[in-house]
Amino acid sequence: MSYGFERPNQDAGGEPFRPFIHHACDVPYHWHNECEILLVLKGELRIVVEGAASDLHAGDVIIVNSRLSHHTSSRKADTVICGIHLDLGYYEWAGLTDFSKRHFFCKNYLHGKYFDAIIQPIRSLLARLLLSDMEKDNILAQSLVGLLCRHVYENVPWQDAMAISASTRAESKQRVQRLMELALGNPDLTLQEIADIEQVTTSHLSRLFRKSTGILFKDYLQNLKLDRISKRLRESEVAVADIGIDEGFSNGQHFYRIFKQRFGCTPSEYRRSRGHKARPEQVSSLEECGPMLMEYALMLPDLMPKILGRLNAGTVPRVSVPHDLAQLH
Amino acid sequence: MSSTTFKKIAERRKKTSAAILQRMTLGEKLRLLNGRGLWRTSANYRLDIPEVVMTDGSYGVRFSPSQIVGGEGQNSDLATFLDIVAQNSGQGHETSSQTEPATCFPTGSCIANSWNRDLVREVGEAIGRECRNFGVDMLLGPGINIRRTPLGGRAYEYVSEDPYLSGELGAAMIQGIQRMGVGACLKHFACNNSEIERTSMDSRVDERALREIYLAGFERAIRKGKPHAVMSSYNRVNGEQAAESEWLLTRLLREEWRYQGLVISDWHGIKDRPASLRAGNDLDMPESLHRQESLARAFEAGLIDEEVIDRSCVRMLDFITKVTEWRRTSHEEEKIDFADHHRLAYRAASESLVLVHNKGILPLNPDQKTRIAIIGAAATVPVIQGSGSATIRPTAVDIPLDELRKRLPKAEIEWHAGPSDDADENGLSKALALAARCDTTIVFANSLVAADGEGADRQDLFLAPGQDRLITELGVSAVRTIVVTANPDAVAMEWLDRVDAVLVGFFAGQAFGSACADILVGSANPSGKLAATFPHRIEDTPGFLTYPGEGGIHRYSEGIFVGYRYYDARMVKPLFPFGFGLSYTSFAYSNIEAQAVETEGESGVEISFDVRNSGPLAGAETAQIYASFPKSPIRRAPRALVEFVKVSLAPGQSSRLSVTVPQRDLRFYDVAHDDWAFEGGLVDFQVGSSSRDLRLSAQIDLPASHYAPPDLSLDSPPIRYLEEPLARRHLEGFLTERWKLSPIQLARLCDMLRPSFFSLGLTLNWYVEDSVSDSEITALIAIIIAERAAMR
Repeated sequence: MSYGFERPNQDAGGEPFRPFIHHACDVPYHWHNECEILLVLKGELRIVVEGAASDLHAGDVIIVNSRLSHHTSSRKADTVICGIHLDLGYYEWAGLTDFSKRHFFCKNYLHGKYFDAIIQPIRSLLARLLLSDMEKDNILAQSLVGLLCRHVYENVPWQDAMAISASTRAESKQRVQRLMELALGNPDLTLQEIADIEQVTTSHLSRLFRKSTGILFKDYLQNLKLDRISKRLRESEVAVADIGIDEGFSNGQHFYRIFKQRFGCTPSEYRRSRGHKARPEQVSSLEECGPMLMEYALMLPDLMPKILGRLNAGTVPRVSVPHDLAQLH
Repeated sequence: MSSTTFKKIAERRKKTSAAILQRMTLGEKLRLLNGRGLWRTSANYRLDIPEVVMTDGSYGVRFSPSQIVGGEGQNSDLATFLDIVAQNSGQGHETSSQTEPATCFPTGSCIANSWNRDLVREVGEAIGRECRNFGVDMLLGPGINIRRTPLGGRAYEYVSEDPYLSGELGAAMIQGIQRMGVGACLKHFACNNSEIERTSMDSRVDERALREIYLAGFERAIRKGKPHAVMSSYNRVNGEQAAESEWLLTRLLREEWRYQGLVISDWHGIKDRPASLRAGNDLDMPESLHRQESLARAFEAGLIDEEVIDRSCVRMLDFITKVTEWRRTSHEEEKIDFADHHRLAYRAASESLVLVHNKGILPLNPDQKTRIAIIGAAATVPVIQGSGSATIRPTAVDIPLDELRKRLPKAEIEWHAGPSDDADENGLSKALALAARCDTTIVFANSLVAADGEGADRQDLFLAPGQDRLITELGVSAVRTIVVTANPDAVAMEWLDRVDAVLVGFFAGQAFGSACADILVGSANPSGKLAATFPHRIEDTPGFLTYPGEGGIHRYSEGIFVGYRYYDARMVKPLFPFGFGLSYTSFAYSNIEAQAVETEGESGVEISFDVRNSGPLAGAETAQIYASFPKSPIRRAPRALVEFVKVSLAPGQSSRLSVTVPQRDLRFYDVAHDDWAFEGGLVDFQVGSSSRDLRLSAQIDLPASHYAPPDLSLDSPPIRYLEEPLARRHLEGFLTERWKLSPIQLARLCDMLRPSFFSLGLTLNWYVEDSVSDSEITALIAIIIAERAAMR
């Protein structure tokens, strides 16, 4: 399950996107730098973004903008959701100017039917991506995500994210953002040290943090820690116990308990799966929702012309022919 | 739905809306009360308040995806909007080609001729289904302004010159649309009866005419149809901008009529946003940052209370819930059968075409070998709708020429476009030559396309250039001539006596071609009846002397005498009267009965009569019931429509029809007391086939209700006391007491007082040589008025 506390590190060769599909269980308040697109495949889901609750039904799509704290809870036992985390900064670098500075407005259920023209390609590209073998056919996955980003960039209504945060976020909120960034960049900082830097007491800091994110600052720090651990488990061969000790765990039992709480398995089990293979829960979701995903994916050929944009006959570039093809005959 | 369940739901809705309101910031409230782009309301992402998508069209859905999506945040698409308004139905659908095809049903002034509530309701349902198909939550229709003048540019969208017919069919359309979960928006409220200087003209209407004619249809449509929204109009009403009139939008609409829904502005119809909100105009359309800011500034300056903003927000939230509920219940697979809707458009057209003249030439015999000339561009490119924001792109168009060829396989049919204008001698002579070679000529004529429509009235009642002359010449040449017209409202027919038949088409929608062909060959029996009078000439029309007004003021000088009420009162002979239309069969009326009844605590009159199909063919008849008040002390129209029934009968078949006219529909607006009243006395119920073809009549004496003679004052002469039993009793008491009179003396004194045209006080002082003070008379009057009030 991708809670996504960690920031994808491109330099370390991580992917700029992370698709996911799972039975929705209650995911506590969290926050990430990536933008998240969420599609409900089955059942009902309640998502609370920045304190505002939305009830989503099957087929609903929403975009959770970067750095907004949110949590989800399923309203029906059989709820299945899928989606993708996108590092907008990466795609901005790849050519979508100011992509990461946009705050998107995408909740299909608030709009009329015309909005389907925006939503349908999102559903189809996402479904096709989940049905592809990302290991073996990485280029397809890369391309689909590229098209998805471009489609969002070109079609989803947006406002300047700075203007939004200026108008909707109080100063304390920005301070919390700053704290998050600080903690992210400095793994060794303690709560006390951060409080000293911000010139507030630790209790004030905790209260402030909890008020705007819904979780305790120490839990946030712990989640960051677990993100780093899971990454090392996936990407290195360092012994499990060493990784735990490196991250400041002095008690093995405590480390295992905390890890299992978050990831549902022991660190060794996690390493064996390498975080690559879909976890059992994911596989069952995929199988169960295969036909649904297939239905969305099958619409892709019809949607493709719209996704690719209109061809303008007047601007078709001349194709230079390297060889005189006629000579081949 | 039982009323308790309804109440519960209404209560729950209110709670939710109130709960949402609690969490809204002022900025969010202001945004909620203004549109987003041209055709949407503003979605709220924080509180998950959905947007509402709406679109124009009163006889079909005009849906253009690019218009719905575009135009956020700016006024930049005022140009787009003006394009839509100015769009032209005739010239290849330039603007409407960007819109999605939708079924083009007969326009309002056409389908009104069907006098068929069920049919209109069915068309409403079909339009509602098409709205769902396009993802439209509310249709900006129907429009039911009174067709005060046949020149009115949007008369083609409106229903009738009569408020009862307008209200009944308006309600049926609303019920049909809203049955599909989609909202209807009744428009344009009020007195927008001409397109001349449409956003600034001041319609000056006396209060009786306003109440009895111009508002009565709206009240009826609202009471019976319960539209989710009402649209305020562009114009001024008696000096006040309609969108900013508290009297119109709050006191009358909400307090008197108990309307629960939303009031939305016409597009850019609000001039003073704070004033419009105070008046009760909740939603300002379309998006205007300028008007949003003006509201915010007014709030900051303390010129507008937050309660006023909240009041409109709650209505808006209730409205959003009502018109978006259908989205959750609809299924992706919900497919529209456009072929089925075309068949409905056909049925609607065939019940709405009006045969007004037939010297036995119709129906044509399909088995006869004959030569037929068909003349007119409209035979190949039919004129099926008007021009303006309602103009839509049809899914299919039946071509009259093709449809006639199909139905007359044995006839030799030749077509010519006819003269293109008055100077086209070549076109004229070719058309006449063709007609001379044939046995019968059918002319497809039309009023000037796109000269009128939204934003412009017609200039005259004539057909398009060249056509009246063509028809006159055909008439002179003694060729058998049939004329089929396409027209927004009445047209003059100076050539009528020279031709053999006239079928009036109005704007009959996409199935006009097949419907008129079926009527011409007799596979369908016409049953349409005119919903407005056809005058001989424009000079005969009721408001002629003061139309279209001057200096920005349009006086409705004819008062309550609008339409047939005028022609009847003035005894002006119309070309075709209100309610008139021929059939291929005939109907006999008999056995009328009228009796006073009490239903659900409301008194009324039940009228029953027989209608028999006395002719050779199956057909439908609309029996019209008019009320007349022959002895009323009040100035009344000679007759007023109070009910109608349409019945289909096989040859020889008879049906007993029974209607109940509630007494409230017999009232007049008593300006002296600012209230509706019924003066009582003899009421003559007249039943007939048109307003000038009355076959039966039944009189009934009814008691007065809420009626009081004008109030007495110090100036009132004695006769005013003596003629009213209540006042007379008090006067006699006063006189007896004052001078201790015997009954004989009292009778003699009253006889002496009776002829005086001076006030009671003056007259008494003259005869009795005593000084009766003003205060004594004032006291007497006060007692009389108090007792009158107690009796009402």
